[in-house]
This record gives sequence, C-alpha cells and structure tokens, in this order.
Amino acid sequence: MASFAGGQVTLTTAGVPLPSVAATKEIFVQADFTNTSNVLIGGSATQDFKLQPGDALWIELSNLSALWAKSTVAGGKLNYIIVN
Amino acid sequence: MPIVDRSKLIALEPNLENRQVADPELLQTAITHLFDVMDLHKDQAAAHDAANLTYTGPVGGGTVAGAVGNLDVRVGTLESMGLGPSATVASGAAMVGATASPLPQATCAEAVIQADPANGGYVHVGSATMQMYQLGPGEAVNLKISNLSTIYVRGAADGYLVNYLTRGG
Repeated sequence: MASFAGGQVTLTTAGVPLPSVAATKEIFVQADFTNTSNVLIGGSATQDFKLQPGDALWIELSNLSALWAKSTVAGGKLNYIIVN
Repeated sequence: MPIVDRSKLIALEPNLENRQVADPELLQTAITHLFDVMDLHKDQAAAHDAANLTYTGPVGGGTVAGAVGNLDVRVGTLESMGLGPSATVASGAAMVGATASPLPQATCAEAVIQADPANGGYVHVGSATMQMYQLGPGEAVNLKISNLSTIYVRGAADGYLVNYLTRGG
C-alpha cells in the first residue's frame, strides 16, 4: 500500500536542494497558487524548468533532495508530495 | 556471512591455523564440521522463495558471481528505461526556431519538456521526421527516453524557448 508524505518549502532567489526525503515511487511538486512569480526547478547546476503559480510536475526520484529550486521573487512557495 | 565459522575450527584444533595438525582425529572432526556448515548454507539457499526469480533465459556471466553481476547490470538497465526512481536531476533550456532541431545530447531515464510560459505560441514536439505534439505556453510533457536528443522541437515562430528537466542518465 502506498504511503504519502508532504511538505512546503519557501524559496529564495538562490537555488537550494529540497529537503532530504527518501522516495521509492514518485514525487509531485507544485508551485503554490498564491505565488506571485515563477518557481524554477532543476538539478544542482541549473534550474531552468518554470512552474507558474498552481503548476505541478511529477517525477520519479529516489530522494526529493535531488531536486533544486528557486523563486524568481523571494518568498515563492513549493509544495510537494512524496509517494512511497 | 562467511560459509565457515573459522573460530569454531580453531577451537576444535588450535594448531589448525598454523597447519600443524597434531591430532588427525580432531582434524577430521573439524572437517566434518566444515561440511556440516556448508550443507546448512546450501540448504538455506535452496529454501529461499523463488517467486521473485522470474527471468526465463540464461543469465550468463560464466560463474555465479558473474551472473549476479549481470543481474545488477540489468537492474541498472531497468532504471535507464525509466522503470524506477532516479537519484539525479538536470535541467536546461534551448532556443528553438521554426525549423525542427534536436534538443541537446543528454542521457536520461525520463525527460519533461516544457514550452516556456513566455512563448507567444505553440511549440511542436516529436521525432526527427515529424513534430505534431503541441505545447502551449507553460505546458509540459513527460517522455521516458534514454537521450534528450531524440526529441525534436520547433516553434510556431523563431525565438521560442523550450525548458527541460531530466532524471537519471
């Protein structure tokens, strides 16, 4: 049976890894609907993938921390769900 | 776990470690114990549930160790096919024109292709021969591919931006 964990990260304009949370299936990330700018996600080198407010993405990763994120304007929030 | 409990053999014959066997009878006992232990491990291995061993062809590898190594490789191959979570992520962006061009070379297990939210029209995604899948500004598509460069993209006009996120590779 699948189990879930979730959380929220408040971002700055500098890319940071998301918290270390192990995942065995997949990860959903969502730019919070209240954001006033885009959230950018990617790896440690670059974060080019843009999530507008409310946009979501799913990806199969073994740990949430493989994903780096930043916000175009400081204070943007990124929500996540981990599926195990 | 070692097959033979060396300490038990030494306990039976202290000189065994130096190969100075004083008592052939004790040595025989030690060897008997050794075979008992080996039989026990053989029986335990044979008793493992085989339900998960569903591979139907020869694994190859020459030896058992080689075959186990091959199985490890196959697990890795499954990940490269996108059949499991990955440990790495990378991202990038490419400017596309009205003529189709491949995205950059990058090995991966899966790629998420996104038309930049600021684009003024559709981005078309597909193979080298045809790009019919339309992405409106901000839209994305997940594709389980082994190399980003197998994806060709073009814009409704020059100067559109395509962002991508890859995992694995």
